[in-house]
Amino acid sequence: MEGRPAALAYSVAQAMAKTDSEIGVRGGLPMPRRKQTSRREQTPRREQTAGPFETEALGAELASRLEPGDVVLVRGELGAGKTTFVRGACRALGVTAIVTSPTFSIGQRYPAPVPVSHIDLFRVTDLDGEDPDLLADYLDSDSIAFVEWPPVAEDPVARLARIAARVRIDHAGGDRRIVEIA
Amino acid sequence: MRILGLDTATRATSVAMIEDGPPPRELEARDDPPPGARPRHAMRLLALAAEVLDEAAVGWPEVDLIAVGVGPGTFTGLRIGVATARALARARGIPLTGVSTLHSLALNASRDGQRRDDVEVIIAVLDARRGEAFAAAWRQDEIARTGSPGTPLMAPAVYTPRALAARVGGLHAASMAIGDGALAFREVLERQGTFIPEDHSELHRVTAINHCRLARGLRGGAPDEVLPVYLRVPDAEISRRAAAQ
Amino acid sequence: MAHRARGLDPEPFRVILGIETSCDDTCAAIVTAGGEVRANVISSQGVHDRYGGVVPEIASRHHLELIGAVIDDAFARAEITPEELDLVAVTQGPGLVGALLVGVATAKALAAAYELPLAPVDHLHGHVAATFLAPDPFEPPFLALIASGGHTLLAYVRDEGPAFEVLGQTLDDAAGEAFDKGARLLGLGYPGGAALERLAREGHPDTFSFPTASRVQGLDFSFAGLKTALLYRLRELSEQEVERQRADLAASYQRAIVEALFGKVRRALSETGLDRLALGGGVAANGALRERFQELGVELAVPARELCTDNAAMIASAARFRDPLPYPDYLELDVYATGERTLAAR
Repeated sequence: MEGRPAALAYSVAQAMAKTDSEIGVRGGLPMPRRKQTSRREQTPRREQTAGPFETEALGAELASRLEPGDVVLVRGELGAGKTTFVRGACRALGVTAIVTSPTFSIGQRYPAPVPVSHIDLFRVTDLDGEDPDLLADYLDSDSIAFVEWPPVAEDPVARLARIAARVRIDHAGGDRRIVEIA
Repeated sequence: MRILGLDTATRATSVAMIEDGPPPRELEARDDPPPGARPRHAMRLLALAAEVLDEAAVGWPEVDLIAVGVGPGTFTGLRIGVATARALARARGIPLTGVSTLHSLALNASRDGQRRDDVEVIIAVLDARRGEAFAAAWRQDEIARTGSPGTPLMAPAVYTPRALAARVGGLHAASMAIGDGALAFREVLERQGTFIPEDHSELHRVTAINHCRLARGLRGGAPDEVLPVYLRVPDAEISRRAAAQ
Repeated sequence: MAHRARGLDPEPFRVILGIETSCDDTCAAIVTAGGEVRANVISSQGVHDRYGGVVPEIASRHHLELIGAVIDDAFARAEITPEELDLVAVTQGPGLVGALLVGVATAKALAAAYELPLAPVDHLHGHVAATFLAPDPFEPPFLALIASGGHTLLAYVRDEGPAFEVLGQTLDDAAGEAFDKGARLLGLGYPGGAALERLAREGHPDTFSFPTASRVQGLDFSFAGLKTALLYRLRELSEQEVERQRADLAASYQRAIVEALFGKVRRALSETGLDRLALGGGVAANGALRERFQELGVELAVPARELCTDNAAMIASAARFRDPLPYPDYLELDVYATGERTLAAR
């Protein structure tokens, strides 16, 4: 970044000071939360995979029981294989495009018989500060969505779609991973 | 005087023009996406503006003032509206003024044939998502005052349903609430004794015609001074500032 | 209107305004038909550093606040007036939707106000077109490697435009993303690329061995495994060891990224028979990478740093080689977020 012509000096503090006084009352009533459906809830399963192919296979297996409007939250630290898992699910859902990390663009939408959204919130520190439309563009009743790095508070996601599964992937040495699907 | 109005704060896209005449004229072109569909601000705004100009048979040089809705409303929508208005204004040297979308909405209630004598206060309420609402309230008598509508009884702010109910209850006046937010929080508001017109009433729709009316007589200013009124600081900024303290 | 009389003009698009807002830099540029950069204004928002990454909503807000002044600045530096414009070019995608929309709404309205044509440009085509700019335009055919925080692409560029053939791309993370995430694992700040490069200068690149994506078939790239390898290495080491060898880790990790890119480029050159290479994107600003690629012994074009990272001159440059949309055909133009249209974009 250094060496660029800094054409304009811009003060964030200045810009924020403007909005400070305009913030209204917050807090209060809890958000109306969509009721979780229990019809397809299954007992949590925990599996060890030997490599990316097996992690993809688990993703594909999960995909087979997803319906339009479902969202899957995928947790795990850097390099755990979240995108690998999602790639497997995408293939099973008929996505032919290359499934890459959407960290840069935040979200991607792949054409498929049921369109698939792939969201990565790695760079989004807190959903509340974002445009309410940020997720609305990707989560809807017509598509199946995967959210990497879901926020601690799941409310914004739950308001737009049905959380069908929570996946947790942990390193287990080398290419091995522990995949937990709940 | 010929004023072009633009609004992209709600799901709808509205473009309007008023001419003082003679004869005076009011035109509007708008896009209301069907329920469940995404807003089409990016695609429709400029096209609707071109349609309105065509309909009025005028070109950009004949526009004396642009009035753009600065919200509050959907962030992306507001930015499309303000960016478009600013670029048109700067390119053509047309003065630009920002209009509060809430104030414009409130003006619906004092239009001909809509005025209700049993109402003292108009509450404009827009859906702010996440279970919250943007709202502001004015005395009905003062809404139509061009430029400065008098001090609002409730300053534009984002409210939770509970906070909104508390504020509205505290007005102690016969009130009417309008806007998509009034529909979203109908129950909460009606419990406070607020009257809300039926769901399909035109009173709930933001129209850029009101932007033009409110801007009438205003001189407008430098395009870059007009910015959206978000009413929300990105929480990334809030948590950063909290951590810094 | 000055341009209305342009029907008689032999060279219709003499003066092009470029606008680029796909990520966190607000950019405007004035470029002539001959590829001369009359102005290239880049306003780096900078504010994202403290959040550890670009925050889309903040980026969009800043774009809107800055874009008017940035465009004014471009006109002032180029010493031309908006009335002298012949064409407006703008990045249509890929990038952050909210950020792109500020640029596209501005560009559409500016063009419409003057009834000028508008050229929507793909961001990656823009990076390639940076090499077509004066004073030393790099002439096709050549191989192009575009590597940045959001993209990693190997392309066969047969001519200036409007399209190119994609030979390879990343199957998971972008090269710049590997830099940023590696920097994060090493406890460096954001943006990580520059910080990692600085630290790497003090370390020995052969201290640690990291995978260079040789497992990936063909000319595609993969950086996800590298990221994981760094994570494992960090876990094996004690805190004191990490502290002592942080620079060595950075140097070794950087070398793995550079080697992964280098290996595929060398292979692509041999497979295509091309002997000319152009680099673009923010990663091309990396000193170690530039040094390594000198060793290929082919004719190498690396645009100046401010033309490698995101800028609007490259967008205006790309517009020189494609048919723009005449007024009013672009009024309903929308943006796109993802790269799949890069292939189809024309």
